[in-house]
Amino acid sequence: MPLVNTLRKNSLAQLIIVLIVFTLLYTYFTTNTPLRSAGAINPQDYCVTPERPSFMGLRLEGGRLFFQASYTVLMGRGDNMTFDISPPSAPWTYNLVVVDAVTGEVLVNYTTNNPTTRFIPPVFIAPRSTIYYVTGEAVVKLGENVGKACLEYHLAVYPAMRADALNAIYGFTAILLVLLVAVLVLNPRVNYRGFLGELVVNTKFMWLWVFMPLVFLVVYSTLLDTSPIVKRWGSNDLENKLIVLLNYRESTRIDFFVLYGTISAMLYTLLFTYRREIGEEKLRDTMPYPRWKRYFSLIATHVILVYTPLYIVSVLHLFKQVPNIALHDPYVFSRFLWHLFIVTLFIYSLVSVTPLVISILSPRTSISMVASVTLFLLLAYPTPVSTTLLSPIPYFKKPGVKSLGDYAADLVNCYLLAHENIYKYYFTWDDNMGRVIDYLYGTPLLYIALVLLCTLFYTRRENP
Amino acid sequence: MFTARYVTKKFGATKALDNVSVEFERGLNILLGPNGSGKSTLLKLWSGLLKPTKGEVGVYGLDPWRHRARVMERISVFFEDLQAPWWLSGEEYARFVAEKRGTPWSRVREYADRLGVSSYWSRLIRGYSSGMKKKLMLLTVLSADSEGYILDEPYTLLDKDALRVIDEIIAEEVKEGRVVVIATHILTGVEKLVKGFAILFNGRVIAKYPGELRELLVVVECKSDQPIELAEEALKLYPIRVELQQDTVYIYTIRKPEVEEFMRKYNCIEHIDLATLYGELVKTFPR
Repeated sequence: MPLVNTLRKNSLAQLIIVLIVFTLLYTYFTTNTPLRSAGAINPQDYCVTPERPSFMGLRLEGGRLFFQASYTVLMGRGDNMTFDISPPSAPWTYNLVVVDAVTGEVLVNYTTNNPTTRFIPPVFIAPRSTIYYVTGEAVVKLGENVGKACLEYHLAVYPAMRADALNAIYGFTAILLVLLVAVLVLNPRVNYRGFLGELVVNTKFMWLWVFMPLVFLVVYSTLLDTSPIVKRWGSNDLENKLIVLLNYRESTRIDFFVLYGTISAMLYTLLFTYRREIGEEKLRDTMPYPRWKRYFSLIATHVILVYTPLYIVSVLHLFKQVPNIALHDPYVFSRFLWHLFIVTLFIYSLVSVTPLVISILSPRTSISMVASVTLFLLLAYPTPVSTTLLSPIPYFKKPGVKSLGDYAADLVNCYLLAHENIYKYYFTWDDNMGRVIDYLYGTPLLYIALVLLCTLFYTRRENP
Repeated sequence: MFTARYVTKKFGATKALDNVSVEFERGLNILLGPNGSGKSTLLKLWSGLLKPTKGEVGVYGLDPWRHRARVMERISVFFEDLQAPWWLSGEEYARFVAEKRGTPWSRVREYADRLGVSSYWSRLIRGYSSGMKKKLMLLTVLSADSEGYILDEPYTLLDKDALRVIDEIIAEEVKEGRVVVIATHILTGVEKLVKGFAILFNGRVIAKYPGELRELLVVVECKSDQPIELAEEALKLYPIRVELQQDTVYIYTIRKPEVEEFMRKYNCIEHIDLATLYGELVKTFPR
C-alpha cells in the first residue's frame, strides 16, 4: 500500500487528516443538529387607547385599528413560516408580504378579509435559503367609542430538513478528500525555507496539542440547544427584528467561544514559554533568521491552527444558509465574509492579548500557566473580583457587563445586526464615548499595536 | 575578524567579563579558562545573544547585537546548552538548518556519514542519547560551510571516534582559511594548529596570543634518524623539558631567537604549548 506508506512518513499529510476529521465532525454535528424553531410575539400590554392612540406598530384612527410589524427572517429552503394575528374584533383584513431581501422579488402578497376573529394563517414555505423581509398587517373595524383595543400576534418559523446543508457537507468532504489525495499522491517534500519553513516547524511542534481545543469543539457541537427561540418586541428593537434559526446555545452563562479562546490562548502561552525555557529559542537565534519574523510566524501558526477550522465551518454555514446572496449579489456576500473576518479578528484580539503579553514576559512555563489562567478567568468570566478590579476600564462601563466575554458578545451582536448603519450606532451605556465600530476596529488596532510593542521587546531581549 | 575591545558584561551584580580585549584572526583560536571564567559569555557576545554592558564587540566588522542575523549568515555557532527540537527527526532538523543556511544537502549527508549521524537520524530526536544529540548539533554547525565557527565545549560527551572526526573537520576548516574559535577544557591535540588563544580567569584575560604575552611556551617537534643526538643538542637550549618518542623529539621551551635558529637548522615545526601554559597559569592563579 504505497499510499499508506506515504501517509505514515508524511507528517504534514497526517496533520491534514486530523484537521479534516475534526472539521468534518464539527460540521456534521453543527449541521445535522435539529435547528431551533424561532419566532416573535407581541410585546406585553400591546394595546392602544384614545389617550395613547399609537404604540409600537399599533394605531387607532377613525374607529379602526391598524397594525403593522416587519421582521427580517433568515430561512433555509423548505423552512415553514406562519404569521398569526388575533384581532380584538371582526371583520378585519389580514395582509402578509414576503420579499426576497437579496433579489427584491415579492414572493407573497396575500390579503384576506375575515368575517370572524378566528383565523388560520397561511403557511409560507421558503423556496430558497436566503433572507426574507416579512411584513404582517391588519386593519380591524372597531365600534364607536372604543376604550381599549388590544392585539396579539405570533410569528413562528419551523425548520425543515436541510437538503442543501447535507449537500454542502458532501461537497465539503469531497473537496477535503481531493486535497488529501493530492497531498498523498504528490507527496511533496516539506519545505523548510523562509517563513513557510518556520510555520512547518511550529506546526510540527503544536499539532498534537491542537487536539485539545479541537476535541472541545466537536464535543461542544454535540451538545447544541434545540429549544425554541421566542423573541418579544422589547426595548432593543434592533436585535429583536431579526429572526434566525439557530442551533447554538444562547444566553448561557459561559460562552462557547470564551471557553474555546481560553483553551487555545493557554495553549499558545504555554508552548511559547516552554520553547523559550528549554533553550530552543536560543537555538533559533543561532540561525540566520530575524527574530521578528520568527515571532510573527508563532502568531501566524496559532491563528492558522486554532482558528482555521472554526473559520472554515463558519464560512461553510454562511454558504449553506445564504447561497442565494452569494449567487445574486457577490458584493454583499463578500461584505458578509469581511464582517466575519472583522468579528473573528476582534475576538482573536481579545482572546490573545493576555497570552501575548505573558508569553513575552514570563521566563517559566509554570508561571505562564498560572498567570494566563488567572488573568483569563478575571477577564473572560463574570466574577466579583473582575468587576471590582476592572471597573475603571471603559470596556466595563456598561451596566451589567461583568466580563470581557459579555462585552464581546454584545459588541458582535450589535455589529452583525446593524452593520448597515453601524457608523451611527452608539452604545447607550457608554455616554456617547464610542461607537460600536470604534470598539470593533479599535480593539484589533490596539492588539496590532501591542503585537508591535511585544515584537520590539522580544527582539531586544538577551538570550543568555 | 573576531574582536572584543574593553568589554565588560554584567549580570545584575555579577561581573562575567571585566574589561576584556581579545582579537582573533583566521585559523584556530582557543579560549581556555576554568568554569565561570567568562568563556561562554564572550562567545555569546560574539554570537549576538548578549549585549555588552561596556565596550565593543565585532565579528567581521559587524556589531553582532545589532546585526545578529547578518552575522549568523557568515558564522555557525554551537553552544553546549542548545536544545534540538525534540519533536523533529534528526534528518528533518538537519534539513531545516541546511535550508535556512543554504547548505547543499550532499555536504550535510557527507558530514553525517563521517560523524555516524546518518545511522540514526531518521528517528525522532527525543529518543537520542546526549552524545547522539551533540553529534547531530555539531553536524548542523560544522557542515554549514561558513566563514567562521564558534564552538563552545564541543568535545564533552563524545566518544573517541567522534572526537577524531571533529578534530579532522576543524583541521580542514582551518586549512581552508576559516576562523574557528573554540572554548574548551579538553585538549585533544587539535591545539597544535592554534593561531591564537586567550586564557580567562574570573572574567579577566590573564594570557593571550597574539597580544601582550612576553614569553610564549612552544613545543618544537623535530623528526630525525638520530633522535638521541638531536635531544642532546636540544638540551643546550635550556628547555623546560625534552621528550623522545620513536624518531620524534618534542622540545618544550620558551620561544626565543636560539630556538628559531635550531628549528631552521633541523627543519622542525613548532606549535604553542597550550596545555603546559594553561596548567602553569592555573597554578599561578588559584581560585
